[in-house]
Amino acid sequence: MFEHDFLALFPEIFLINATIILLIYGVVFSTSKKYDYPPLVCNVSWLGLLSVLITILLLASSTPLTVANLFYNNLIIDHFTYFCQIFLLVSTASTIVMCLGYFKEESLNAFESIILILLSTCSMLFMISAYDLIAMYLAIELQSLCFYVIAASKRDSEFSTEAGLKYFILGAFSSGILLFGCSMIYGFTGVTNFEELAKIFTGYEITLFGAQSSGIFMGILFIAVGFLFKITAVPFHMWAPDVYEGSPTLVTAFFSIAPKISILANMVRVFIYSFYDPTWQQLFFFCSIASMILGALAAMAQNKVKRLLAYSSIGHVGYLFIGFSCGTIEGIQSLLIGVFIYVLMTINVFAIVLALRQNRFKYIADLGALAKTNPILAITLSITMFSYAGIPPLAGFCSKFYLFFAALGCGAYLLALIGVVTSVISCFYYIRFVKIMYFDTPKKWILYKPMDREKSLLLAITLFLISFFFLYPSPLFLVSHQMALSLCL
Amino acid sequence: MVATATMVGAIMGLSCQFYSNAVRKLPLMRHPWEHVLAIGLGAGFGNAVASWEVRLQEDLDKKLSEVQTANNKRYIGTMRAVED
Amino acid sequence: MILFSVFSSIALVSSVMVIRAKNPVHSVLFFILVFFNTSGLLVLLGLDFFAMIFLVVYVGAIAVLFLFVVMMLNIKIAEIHENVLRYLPVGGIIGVIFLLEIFFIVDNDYIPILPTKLSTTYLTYTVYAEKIQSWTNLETLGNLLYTTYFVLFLVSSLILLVAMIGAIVLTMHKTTQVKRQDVFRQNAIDFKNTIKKIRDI
Repeated sequence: MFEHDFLALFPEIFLINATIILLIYGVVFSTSKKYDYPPLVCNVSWLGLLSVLITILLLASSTPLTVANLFYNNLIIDHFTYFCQIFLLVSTASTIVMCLGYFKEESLNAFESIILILLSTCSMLFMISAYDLIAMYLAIELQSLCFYVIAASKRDSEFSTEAGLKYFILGAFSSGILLFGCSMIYGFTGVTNFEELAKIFTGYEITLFGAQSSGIFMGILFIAVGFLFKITAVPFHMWAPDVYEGSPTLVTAFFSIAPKISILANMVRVFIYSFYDPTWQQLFFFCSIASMILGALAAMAQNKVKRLLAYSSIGHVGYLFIGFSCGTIEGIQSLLIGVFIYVLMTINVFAIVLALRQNRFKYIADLGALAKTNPILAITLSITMFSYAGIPPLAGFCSKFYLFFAALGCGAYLLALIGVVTSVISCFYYIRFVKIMYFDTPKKWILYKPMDREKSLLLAITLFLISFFFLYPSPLFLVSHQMALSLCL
Repeated sequence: MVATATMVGAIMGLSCQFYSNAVRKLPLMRHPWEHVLAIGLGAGFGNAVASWEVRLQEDLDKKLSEVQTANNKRYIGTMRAVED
Repeated sequence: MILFSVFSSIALVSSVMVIRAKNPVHSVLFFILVFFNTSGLLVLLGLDFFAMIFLVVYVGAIAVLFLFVVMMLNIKIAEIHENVLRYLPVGGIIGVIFLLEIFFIVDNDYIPILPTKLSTTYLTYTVYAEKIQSWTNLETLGNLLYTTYFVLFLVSSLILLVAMIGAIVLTMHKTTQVKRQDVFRQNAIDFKNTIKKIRDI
């Protein structure tokens, strides 16, 4: 019955098989006395990187099946999922590249971290192409479960255990709320497929022909709350700074990059395709405004780098929600562009944080006098910080401009106004980085060790993409337009 | 158009390799064969992106015209598809 | 109807007692009572398989897991009931929100806050489950879960794999200082070679 569907799902099948083979390889050889118990972290991570790259290759060349509705309407593949999945795999590959040096420094010999990262990538691929409430929930559970474990994986640090425990409790709670919403929707409509839900909800707000039921509204509300927890939007952001700060830095990097892409893609499909706008738009307006304000204000008082990055990512999610809550095609397009540029900037920042990690880069003040010791790195970090703040002509400005443009285009003037104001406020702490690097003298001696080649190449690529994006933005605009169209049609 | 893209890609590849050596505080021309590799990769990448963009633009125009025709077909009152 | 009220009221009361009990073992026992009553409710709905699976999985595995955890943690009884009242405001608000939400939906003519317009001509809900009487619960589940929806089944198996890996990553000590028994090596010792005579004293 499903012979052709496996052809379309070939990249995911390859990735799952590769993960399981790597797991067996790691377990068998790292406990064998004959080879003297080798720590297989670097092997497994290089092979994991290779399998992710091969998955990208398989995905990009699967041209016979570009649009498919698979497995009895559980999964869907169209242009939107295609580009989202490629983007997700590329960002996962960059994260694994960043962590190759990290394992050597921290001597974190558990190769299972890479296996869990690969499994969560698999689940994110499923999440992006999910077309049914049950498939979506299972994929979200799989991804969250992998993350709970790797957040707590640094066993000799209390911080890490606390972060993992907090993440687990709040993540389980939000999954429960999500499932409750899904079951309410199923109870009041009888279907779980997104397409069927879209057909049912067509007349939802037009009370002349349709039936409006409060149960469905509650279901949508609970699903929205569950998703907002997962994407750390305000007012459900409580766990994010503590978890981001306590986890090992590699895990924080992975948190900020990959789940945002997949959960946003899933949210776009659920909320814009199935549940049409007017029901949940007010809630998302409120969350976007609150996230922007909180991200701008709360980050000012932070001294530690990872907490600051957590609050800045909360603020950025607020900006992304501007595009999301408009509900127009420009809105979705600006959301996709914003996500791409956000991921680029985050990869850059975390590559720098990981590169300076050897010197106990915990507080922002540790950055002092970076301009004299490594001026090129200082310039890189300042360019990235300016891009976060939204200063033209860097890429961050383009994404924010397009987001505000979409908001104004659909009449959400308050959103655009608050967005601009909070952008200006958040400039403060981004430029504080630059000031500390160039004008502060540190209190103790700081020695910088050179970074390895993979991180420097990654920094080079993302830096050039950020700074020269404004010269050639058309491929990205075209791609996101095509993705938004294929979603809405 | 494609030639400029290739050249720009080559220059970007070379500057990526320079940057990577510089940020690690190595002399800029350390491992010169990698510069060649980077130039080649950059050029290929620039080429691919330029041709991909052309293809995307065509796809987008085709899709938009399809949507326009489908929309016009639904117009109550006409019996045939009006191509605008 | 009587059975429904009995089962649901005992379930509600015991779920409140799970939180309020001072002794953690009593908490777990009330937890088990909640599951028993819920499976009774499921039997009333006509889902025999699910009721039995509830008992096996929830009581047999999850509640036993809770008991193990309670056993391993050293909870002193006296220090529990000091700071329960601290959580009352926020917990109370959340509980009241959940309860009110149930009332909004179920008894909408008493509390007409949310806009509800029920038009009975347009969308009807067909209860298909009434029309088919020949298959048992187990048969239906087996017919669908492993054929049409097997992708979901495989993804859940991946979730179980992650749970297993997670437990091992977080708790196993693989350092060389940990003394562990290697049973195969112990069994393979040749006694004639273990003790040798080197010289006379």
